[in-house]
Amino acid sequence: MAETLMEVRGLKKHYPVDTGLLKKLRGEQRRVHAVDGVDFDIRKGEILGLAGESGCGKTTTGKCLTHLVEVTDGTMTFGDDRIDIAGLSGPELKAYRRRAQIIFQDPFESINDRFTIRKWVGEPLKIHGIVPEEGFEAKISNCLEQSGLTPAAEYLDRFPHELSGGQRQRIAIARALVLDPEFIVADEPTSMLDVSVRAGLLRVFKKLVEEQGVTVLYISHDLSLLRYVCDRIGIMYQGELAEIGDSDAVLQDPKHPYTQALVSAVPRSDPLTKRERVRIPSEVVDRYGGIEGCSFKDRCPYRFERCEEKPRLVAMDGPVEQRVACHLYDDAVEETMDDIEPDFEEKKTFDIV
Amino acid sequence: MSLLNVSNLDVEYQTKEGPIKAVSDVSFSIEENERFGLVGESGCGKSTIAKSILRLLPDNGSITGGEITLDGVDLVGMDEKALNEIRWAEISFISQSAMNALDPVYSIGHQIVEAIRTHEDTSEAAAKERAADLVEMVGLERARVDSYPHQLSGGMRQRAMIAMALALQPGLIIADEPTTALDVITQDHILEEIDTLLKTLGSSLFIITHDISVVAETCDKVGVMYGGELVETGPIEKVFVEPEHPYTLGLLNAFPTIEGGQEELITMPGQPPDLHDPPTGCRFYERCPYREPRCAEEAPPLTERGDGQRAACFVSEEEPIRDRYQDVVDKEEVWLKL
Repeated sequence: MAETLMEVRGLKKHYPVDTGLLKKLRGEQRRVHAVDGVDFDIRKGEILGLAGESGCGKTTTGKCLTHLVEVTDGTMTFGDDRIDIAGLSGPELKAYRRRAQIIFQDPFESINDRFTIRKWVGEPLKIHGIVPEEGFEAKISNCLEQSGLTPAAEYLDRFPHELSGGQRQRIAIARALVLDPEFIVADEPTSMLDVSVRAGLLRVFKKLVEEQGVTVLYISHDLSLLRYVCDRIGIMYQGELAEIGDSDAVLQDPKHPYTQALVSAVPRSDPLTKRERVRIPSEVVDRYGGIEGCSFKDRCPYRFERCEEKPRLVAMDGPVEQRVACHLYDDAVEETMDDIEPDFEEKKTFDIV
Repeated sequence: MSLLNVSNLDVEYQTKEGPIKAVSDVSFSIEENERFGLVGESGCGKSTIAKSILRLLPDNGSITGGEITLDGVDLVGMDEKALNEIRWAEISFISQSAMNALDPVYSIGHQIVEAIRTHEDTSEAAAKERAADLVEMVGLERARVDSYPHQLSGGMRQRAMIAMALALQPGLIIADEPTTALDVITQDHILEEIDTLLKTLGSSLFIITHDISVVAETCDKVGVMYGGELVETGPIEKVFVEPEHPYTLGLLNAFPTIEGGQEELITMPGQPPDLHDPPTGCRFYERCPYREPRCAEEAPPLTERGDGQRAACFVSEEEPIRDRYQDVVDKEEVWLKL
């Protein structure tokens, strides 16, 4: 098994919602538990996908791992030197920033249009005071070409606004690469791009991993896309990890009732196949504070008494990794999925009004 | 007679850089009880077609040629007053962003009541009752008629919009990326609800989306747009299984599927044509792995391919493109060779 690049243990990030002084003083401040106790490892040289619906905490997890927000609790042990990045500040933080980079969703918001591409991609070198062995120009060109902008010379003196969305996202990747990072967090990097452009960007990430041993955390809501890009995939729900493991196992044979519902809701592009829908209630209300017991219990068709307790992640038997946070798979619990009559949402029919 | 008939439609936008031909010579029709999906990438003209039908083009856009008829009645030359009579009653619209489409200062119920009472002579109380029925029909609680748009989540707002679109049981519902902003489980519920409602009401659907799988599951027929033109159209099970236009094939190759099968996604290198000055020949020429010299000179017309499938490609007219490079058609190299 590959070595671990980052060990995330008990990660929590709570955001205060009522920021008024009075409520603060009275101790009535409500908090959103965006990430609420997450454990997982990221292995060296893998692409780990992180998926889930909006508000599940996947983006916040990415921000914690790149130290863009202060975590509320937990440890994130990084690299061979096993530093805990949660506690970093000052020069150590700056050193970590060199090793870990983040790429954002919107290539139109995240790039300064007043810089030439040479200046924008090269800026991190200046900030960190690094003189690349091969020289600035060669380093920048190299990174542009790795991102698929070839020949690089054609792009160096242009401004980002002259480029398409896909090309801008490649600029963002080049800028992330210029510091030779070990770890890249990519937060929905292709969700604003057209399909024909998307595939090319995915290949850039795959190549980075294969050829340079970079490790990538790829955050996306798009399960079909993650199947192509990830080795392993984690499914988050309400700030917790519902299921994690080999991406084919998780997507082809999901175990957690939430993953099952999620996968069954993805439309299929082959018009000749019909899919079985697992019907669960669709909306989640805003929740403040932590959740007692299983966070999915209110929508879960298999809910039983035990769900009032928090489930732990248990490993499935099998050739590949697949771990599930559901009592029904826990050997310490008597019940299994076969023992419970699922209570699916009923399909609606209407009378004409 | 078709419910909706679009023939030889041309639409232009005036921009600082000169006119853009956003839609060129597009023809298709939608029958009663039919679901037609239009797919293509950003800038291909698919939303412009929806706006043209609804006559909601922005000020710098205009229909420069062609006809659009609904139930045989011309929409292009129709005056604003007549248009207001058919909007909601005969054609309704579900947009991508319900937040922009719903009025933030009125309750959901008020907006539905207003739509009903503009078109029908009903009492306020009766209309309100019907609004509540509709709200319930799209999966919200009846009490939500009194909610304001900001009090609802994205999915609930989208449902409210659907309720409004259905209020007068229009024959045609136009939906522009109706679920793109939503989470997959919510999307699934809403698409299923639209499906059930269409069956109940017998309405037709014209849906515009970049998501091939949504069309594959929702529609009977599909049109594929590229560079302002309709390059292929026909029944879903023909176009998505045996595409006759190389662009359709490229789009399917690049589209990730959760069910597996193909292991690599294949990109189409290059960019769509500049519509300020579109090429004379086939607009896909620059990116096409099958191109031949004549494709650069002459624009291929849409021709019949059997079972209602039509495609605009000289090469596939002679033999199916899949047969032509059978072993290599799914390989990246074929596309990258260019």
